Amino acid sequence: MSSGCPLADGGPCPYGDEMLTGYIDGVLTQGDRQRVQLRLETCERCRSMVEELEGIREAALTTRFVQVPDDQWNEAPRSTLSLVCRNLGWAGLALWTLLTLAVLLSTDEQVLESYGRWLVAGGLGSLLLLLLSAALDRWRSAPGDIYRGVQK
Amino acid sequence: MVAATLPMNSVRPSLSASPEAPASETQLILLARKGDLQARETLAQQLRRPAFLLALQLLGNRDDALDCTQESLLRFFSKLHLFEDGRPILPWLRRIVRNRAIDMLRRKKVRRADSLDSCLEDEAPIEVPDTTQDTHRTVHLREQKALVWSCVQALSQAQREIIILRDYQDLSYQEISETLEVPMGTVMSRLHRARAELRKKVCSALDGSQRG
Repeated sequence: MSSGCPLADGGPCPYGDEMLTGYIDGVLTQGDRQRVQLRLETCERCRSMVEELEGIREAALTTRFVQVPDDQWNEAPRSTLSLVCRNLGWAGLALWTLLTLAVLLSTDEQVLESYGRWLVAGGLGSLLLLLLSAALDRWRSAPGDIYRGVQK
Repeated sequence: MVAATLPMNSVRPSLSASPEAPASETQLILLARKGDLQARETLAQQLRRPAFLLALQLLGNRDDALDCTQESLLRFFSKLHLFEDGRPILPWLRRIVRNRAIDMLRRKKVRRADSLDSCLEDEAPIEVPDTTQDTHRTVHLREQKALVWSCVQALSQAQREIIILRDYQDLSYQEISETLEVPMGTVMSRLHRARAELRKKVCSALDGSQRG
């Protein structure tokens, strides 16, 4: 048994450890609560366990976590449509890059003639989707833009 | 021992929701459903902080938590038409965030857990009274909170989430049961096993630090 935690090597409470958790959280019936209180008066191990668990819970409850500044939330897409446009745009660009490489590496000149127009349209379409996503985000954020009313 | 040195009277604002949604919340949802951009923006502003906090606690990484929050909010708004009128929003949002976080963990789409300092807010300058003894005490408390948090991170995913929902989010057993979609009776037994494991880890960490 260690000095820092006298119950570290202890086994489960024969009277039911789960009841102690319910006792700490205040969810027991009055009868169960009284039974646990009686137990705590005589069982040193149970008393220490309750104190430790309450201490851990208190540490958790009072822990404060970092928050994100408001301006950082605007970096990501602001609507489903914008997210879809952005994902389609990037997927389209990736596909376009692969197809362009394949066509350029191809020795058949007819391939370039047949698919060249589609490649240009695909590349431009993907770029347009990305621009549309950015425009949608801009449109969504415009009402809350703090610099909107600032005169040049 | 942890219990001996932690204050028992500190107050923390609860994130648990009331059983019924406030009237303004219901109105906001109705407007947002009709496509009112201002209502959507207001809802997003209200919800992103609790959503981010839960995501950060579940994932342990700030960037992952940002991604998770963003995706959860998008899902929230895309499924808003399915939301039952008059119900509180937070339990629903909590379920969405939790499911998304678990999905990210399952797909291993999470980065390594951040260091404790980047997750926990530095509270010492606000809370420390101007006496040497109290300064030591507050610093000690912060170390204990960091120790408990690091032990929570070492728990299994199922144990971690129930500890987070009960002890960090301060949810009731009913709310935990709704979030995890398990019967109420399961909550206490699962919570107890998680707490016992956490206590063991905290104890061994304390023993280790005392020996060191």
